[in-house]
Amino acid sequence: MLLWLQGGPGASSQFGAFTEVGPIRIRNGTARLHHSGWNFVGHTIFVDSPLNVGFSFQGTDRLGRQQVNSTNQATDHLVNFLVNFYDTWPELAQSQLILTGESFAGHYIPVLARKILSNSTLKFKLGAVAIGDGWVDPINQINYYDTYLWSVGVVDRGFRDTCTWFQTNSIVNMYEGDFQKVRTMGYAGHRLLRLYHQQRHHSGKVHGRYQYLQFPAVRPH
Amino acid sequence: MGGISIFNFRQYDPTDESFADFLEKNKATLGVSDNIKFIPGNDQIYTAFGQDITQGVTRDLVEVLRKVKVLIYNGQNDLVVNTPGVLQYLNSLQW
Repeated sequence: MLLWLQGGPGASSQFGAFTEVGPIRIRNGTARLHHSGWNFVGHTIFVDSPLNVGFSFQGTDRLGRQQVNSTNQATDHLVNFLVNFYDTWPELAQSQLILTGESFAGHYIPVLARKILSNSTLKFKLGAVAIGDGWVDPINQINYYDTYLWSVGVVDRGFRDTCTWFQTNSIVNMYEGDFQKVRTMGYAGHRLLRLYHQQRHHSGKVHGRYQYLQFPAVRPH
Repeated sequence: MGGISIFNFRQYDPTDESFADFLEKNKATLGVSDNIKFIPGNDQIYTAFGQDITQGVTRDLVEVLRKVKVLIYNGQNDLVVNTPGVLQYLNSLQW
C-alpha cells in the first residue's frame, strides 16, 4: 500500500497521480496509460490534503470552511482518513503501508509516520517512508540557493549575491524566531527568481552557461 | 513563455496542469457533486501555513528513522528543494 502526498502546502495530490507517479498521465488534456506508474508496485492512494485542496471538502460544501494551517492539523486529518480507509477495506491492512510524497510532503511524512508509529490502537502497520525533494529542515536547506544556482549556471553574480542576502537574512530571522519575516523573504526570493528568468528569456540578453542551456541538444526534448 | 522551470532548470515549458480541467470536466463520473470545484493549488493554505513552512520536522524524522526504513531521493535539477540543501540537512541530523 502506497500513500502519495503532494507538496505546496496546498497542492492537490492529483498532480502526482496524473503527471508523475500514477497509472494515467494527462498531457494537453488527453489521458494516456502510464506504464511506469507506482501502481505496478502496490496499491496507490492519492489523498487531497489539507482540507479544501483538490476535491476535498468538509460537510456538504466549501461554505463556512475550516482552514487548516499546520502540519500537525493536516496529519491528524490524515490519521483519521487512514483509520476510516482501513475500516472500510480491512483486508488491505495485510500489507504494510508506505508513506510517499514530495516537496512540502517532507513536512507531512515524518510527522504522520511518527503519529502512526506511536499509536498502538491502529489496525495497520507502517512499513517505510519515502521523501522526494522534501522540504524537511528549512534552516539547513535555505543555505544553498546562491552557490547552487550559480554553479549550475542559471543566474549571474549579481543574482547570486541577492540570494546570499535573502538566505542569510532568512536564517537570522529563523534564529530570532521571526517566522513571518522568513516567509515574506521566501516569497520574495521565489518571485525574484521567476522574474529574473522571464526577463532573461524575453530580452534575449543571455550569455555563458545560461546560453548553453538554451541549445536544443542540452534541452530535454 | 516564462523561462526555465524552477523544479527542473533544464526544462523551459511551464508545468502541464491540464489534469485540473480534465478532472473538473469529468467530476460527475467520479461522483463529485457540482458545487465542489477542483482546486489544483490553494494559495490560501500556503499563506495559512506561513509559520509551519519555516519550521523543521527533523525531530520527527529521527524518531521515524529509529523504527522504519526511510528513503530520501532528490532531483538533481530542482532549484527550489535542491540537492546540496538536502545533503546539508541529512548530514546534520542528530541520529
